[in-house]
Amino acid sequence: MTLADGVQLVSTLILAAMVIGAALGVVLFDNIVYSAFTLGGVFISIAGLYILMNADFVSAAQVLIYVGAVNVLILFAIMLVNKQEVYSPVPRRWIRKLSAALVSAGLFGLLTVMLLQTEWLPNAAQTAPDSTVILIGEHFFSDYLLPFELASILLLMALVGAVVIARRESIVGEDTAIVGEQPAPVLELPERPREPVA
Amino acid sequence: MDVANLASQLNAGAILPEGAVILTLMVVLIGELALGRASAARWTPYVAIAGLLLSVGLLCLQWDLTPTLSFLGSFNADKLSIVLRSIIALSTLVTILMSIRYVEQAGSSIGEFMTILLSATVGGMFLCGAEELTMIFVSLETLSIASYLLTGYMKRDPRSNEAALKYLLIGAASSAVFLYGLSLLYGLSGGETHLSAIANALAQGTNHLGLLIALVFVIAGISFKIAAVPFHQWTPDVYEGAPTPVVAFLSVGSKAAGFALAIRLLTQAFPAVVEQWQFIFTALAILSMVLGNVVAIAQTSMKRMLAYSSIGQAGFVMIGFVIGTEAGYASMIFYLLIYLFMNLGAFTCIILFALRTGTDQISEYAGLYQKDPLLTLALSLCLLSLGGIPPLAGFFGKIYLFWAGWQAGAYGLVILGLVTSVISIYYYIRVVKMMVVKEPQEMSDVVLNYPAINWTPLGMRPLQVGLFVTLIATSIAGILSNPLFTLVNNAVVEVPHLQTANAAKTPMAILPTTTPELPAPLVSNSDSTAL
Amino acid sequence: MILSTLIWFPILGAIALALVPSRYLKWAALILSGSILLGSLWIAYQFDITQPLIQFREDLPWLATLGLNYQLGVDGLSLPLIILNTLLTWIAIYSSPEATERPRLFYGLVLLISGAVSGAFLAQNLLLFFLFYEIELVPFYLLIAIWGSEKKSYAAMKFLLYTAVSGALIFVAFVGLVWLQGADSFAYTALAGNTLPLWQQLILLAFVLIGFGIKIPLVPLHTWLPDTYVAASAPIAMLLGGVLAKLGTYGIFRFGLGLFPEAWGTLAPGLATWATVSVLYGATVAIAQKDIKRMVAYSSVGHMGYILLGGAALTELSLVGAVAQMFAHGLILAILFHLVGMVEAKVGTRELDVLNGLMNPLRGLPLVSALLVLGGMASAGIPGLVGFVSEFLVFQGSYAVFPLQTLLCVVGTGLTAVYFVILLNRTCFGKLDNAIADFPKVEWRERVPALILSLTILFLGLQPTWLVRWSEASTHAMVAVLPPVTQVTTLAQVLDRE
Repeated sequence: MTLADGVQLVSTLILAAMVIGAALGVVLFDNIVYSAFTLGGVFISIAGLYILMNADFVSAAQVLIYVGAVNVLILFAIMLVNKQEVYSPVPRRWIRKLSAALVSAGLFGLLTVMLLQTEWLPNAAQTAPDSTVILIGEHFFSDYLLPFELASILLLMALVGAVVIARRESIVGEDTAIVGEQPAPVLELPERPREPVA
Repeated sequence: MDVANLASQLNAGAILPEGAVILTLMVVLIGELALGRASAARWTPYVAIAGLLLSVGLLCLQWDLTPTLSFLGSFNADKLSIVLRSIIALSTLVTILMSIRYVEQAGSSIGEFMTILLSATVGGMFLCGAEELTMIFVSLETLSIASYLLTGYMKRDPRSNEAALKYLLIGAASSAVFLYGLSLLYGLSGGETHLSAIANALAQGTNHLGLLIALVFVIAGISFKIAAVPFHQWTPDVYEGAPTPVVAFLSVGSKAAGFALAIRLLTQAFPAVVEQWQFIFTALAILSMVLGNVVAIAQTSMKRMLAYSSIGQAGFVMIGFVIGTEAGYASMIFYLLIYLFMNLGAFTCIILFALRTGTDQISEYAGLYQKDPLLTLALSLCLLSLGGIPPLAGFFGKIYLFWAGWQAGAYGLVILGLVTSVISIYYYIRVVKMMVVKEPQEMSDVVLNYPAINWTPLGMRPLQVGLFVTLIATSIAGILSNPLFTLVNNAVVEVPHLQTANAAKTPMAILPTTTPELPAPLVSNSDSTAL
Repeated sequence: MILSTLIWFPILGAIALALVPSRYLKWAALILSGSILLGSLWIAYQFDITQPLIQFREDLPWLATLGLNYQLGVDGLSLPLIILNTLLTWIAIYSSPEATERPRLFYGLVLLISGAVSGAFLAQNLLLFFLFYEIELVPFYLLIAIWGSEKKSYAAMKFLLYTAVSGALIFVAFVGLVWLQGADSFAYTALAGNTLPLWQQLILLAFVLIGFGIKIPLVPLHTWLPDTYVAASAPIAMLLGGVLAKLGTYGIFRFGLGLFPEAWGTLAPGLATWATVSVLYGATVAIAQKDIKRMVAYSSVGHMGYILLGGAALTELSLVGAVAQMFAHGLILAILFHLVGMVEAKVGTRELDVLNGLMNPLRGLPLVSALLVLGGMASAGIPGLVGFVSEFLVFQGSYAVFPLQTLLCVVGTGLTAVYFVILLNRTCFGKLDNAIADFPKVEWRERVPALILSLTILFLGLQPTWLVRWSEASTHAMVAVLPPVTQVTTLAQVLDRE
């Protein structure tokens, strides 16, 4: 083992521990703001893992998009809502917790066994490229052209959808529409809600 | 690699039909932006319809071309994908016909609605031809995210919000699981993303456990899309809360895309574990047929009933999928085509009823015969066709499926299919009974106050056209099914990997069959006693 | 082409009724059904009775992938049933009350059923038969559920589910046969001479028997019958008992006996016993009924047993008798349901304990009662009437093969006489209670159907050749193709006895 390999191994272990620790924090903190911040920690640790794998562009994108945008957005959403709600304790909650733990542990065990058993084929291109950006760009404009272009449609649609959902509807259009004979409020299903079953 | 060289390799003509849909989407979006909502609403639906028709026309023109991979292997425009893409485009077409009035009456913008719907269509159509993992995932997500948005389109209605949130959460989880499965495939094959390359790489390896886990994860993602039991939990709530045209699209277009994905991904990337995935899908088919049809009996809301019935129908379709014969795939796709018309016809009818009366409770349909014979006739025929009553299309679709299943030796599945069909007749006929049998004095209040039938308001004519088109197709598509079935059969025959899935299975047949022209049966042990 | 006309003329006519003004609806329906009746008679006229094979063949390619082709044909087995179907359709339409609600739908559905039933009798392709067999499901459901009497909804649903299950069983049998045989088509002729091992035949035959047994119905698959027949209005009950039940017996003969002769021969003693059980059960339960319509309904269960007995015996005579019995039973059940319906309409009750002295020439319903007596006599097999001819043929043909079962069935006929005597004695004779004897007058046109039916019953009873000549050649051919094994055993039994 050369020095570089040793550094790589130690860094991987540290980053993995950070990922796991931060992920546990996301799940276990009662305060949702703490959870959001630890989620940022998860993202940054994963970005570190990407760097170790020579994926510098992906790593930068990870920090920019997930930490810079997604995580900040989550924090904003939490701050804007900021609603304190006291949850009444669910009776027999431990059964759910236990079963969830069992399922997760089982899945973890299965995946671990699978990872250890499998002979992973090494990737053919072993040498690290000079610049990953160029390589990614080449892929985007050759064999991944179609998904790349389709992603633009996806983004456009998501944009339109976000506007549709977020828009204040009372500015445009009238307030009531006609359903059957009776006026009905806009943007609701024409079917009346069911009467609660007694 | 210079540009000209690249362009010639792309073979971009293969995605012209999708291009037509994207262009339509742009025209609709920009037209509404430029001219304002009110004036654009008068022509954008027709542009969308024309665009979809153009797309179907382009698909027809592609039929005779030799299928080649385009976009360096990302997209496969073979006949199978042409048929499935046409099914999705047609389902969107009919959905738009029925949604114009619905969205108009809800006081919302039809342009934006159609933009999202058309992008869902683009996603679904690309999914049908996707040959590569990235492409599969991006197109699947395009379809899914558009579906979440559409589900929550009636944003002031708490039911719609609830449906959208549930759909989003469960959908995101299933996408994540699916993606995990894809990443395992990528890893196991040594960094391949093209399905055929993955199959080649996996054929040499012995990584059985990893492959199985990948298979299970992938199937979980697909089953969510086709709403197979036990991945169906989202269906009833989403179907009840989503705007009805969206439900129609989800139950036909989205489901067809899911089956297209299943055919392509499972037969092509998992030839090593054919028996396993056929076994899993057999279990899914049994559960879907039983649970979907049995729970549908207890429903009081039409939308919920159709939700469960669509789960059951997906179970029937899966019979054609699991037997793995050419006839099976052909009858499955044929059934999807038939199902398109009858299910969308039924949805058109319940939209019309909901628009006129503001309810979708089955009990409120009582005595509709007296007030609206056309609607009664159309809904009755569509429901009876779903139940498989001759001479309607659904009967022939089921006969094709069951016959293919029987030929392949899946007796148990076919008999279960027959039994559950009988159950399904019970709940479909219950609605027919409500509408036709009830006497005038038993008429429900909303039917008593039924508004005068008026086809003039904006969007009613398209609805009427949709009603007639689906009604006629449901009535005669079965009787005239020979050319349609031949078409679908040709599509299946020319796809090589459907034969490989077959060939991998042949050694299972222990004894030579007395009928050499028939495919080898699936269930070899019962076969050995039978011969 | 003429056979297709029998199917498509009424079906298209049913659709065309949507355009006919309401006043002329019944007339239009009568003309339509009358013309198909004439058409079927014309076929009978053109029919070559010496020819045992399928005649008037029509064969058009349809769905080749499924092996479903449009193949029609008629032989001695189906011809009488076709005539029965068209005749009863006409009578059902004629006898339906003027004030039928939603006449457009009613006549349309009746015509639709007529076309579908003709199609089933004519189909020479198993899948085509199945298609027509299933088509009548929903129209009958609606006819019972809309125009029925009390408990109609329940009865209609029961009918629907039983028939749907029966369809599923038959489908399994057909598909199984074609698959095992390795045929690429469901054509009857391709499957008739199948060479399957006996045990496979037996399994398939069991599906066929249970499937059609529900339709006929045979005990213990009959539980839908009393509810359905009683809930249905008189014209519909006529069609149900007269025509629909014949689909079951026809199916058993054509697709049970015709396709699996070997297995049929093996099962024959069991079938004969089953038939006997049906006969005795139907007759005994009928005796216990207090409702005359229910009584007639149960009488049908018994009479269906004779048909099965005739089929099981597998002699030429018994088969001719069985076919004749199908026709005779159709006529007799139709007249009984018609008259019972009329009694109910005029007197207002079907209770045996209430009805009395309808024979009263002044204040009763003398002609109706007289015809009821005739119908009861025909049903009980009194000589000179059509019921006697067919039952006698069945018994004479089967006695040699299954003496014990035949004797028990003869006892069943005796029991039939018992309950009809009870019925007639209570309803027609005795003193008419003056307090309730204020019946509406029976119009002449209401008597026409009963008169036509009773004349036919009388005529065919006196001139039985007209009844049996159609099917003699076909049944002869049917017996002739039976594998030698069966014939030897039956012959041996016959010789033993002599």
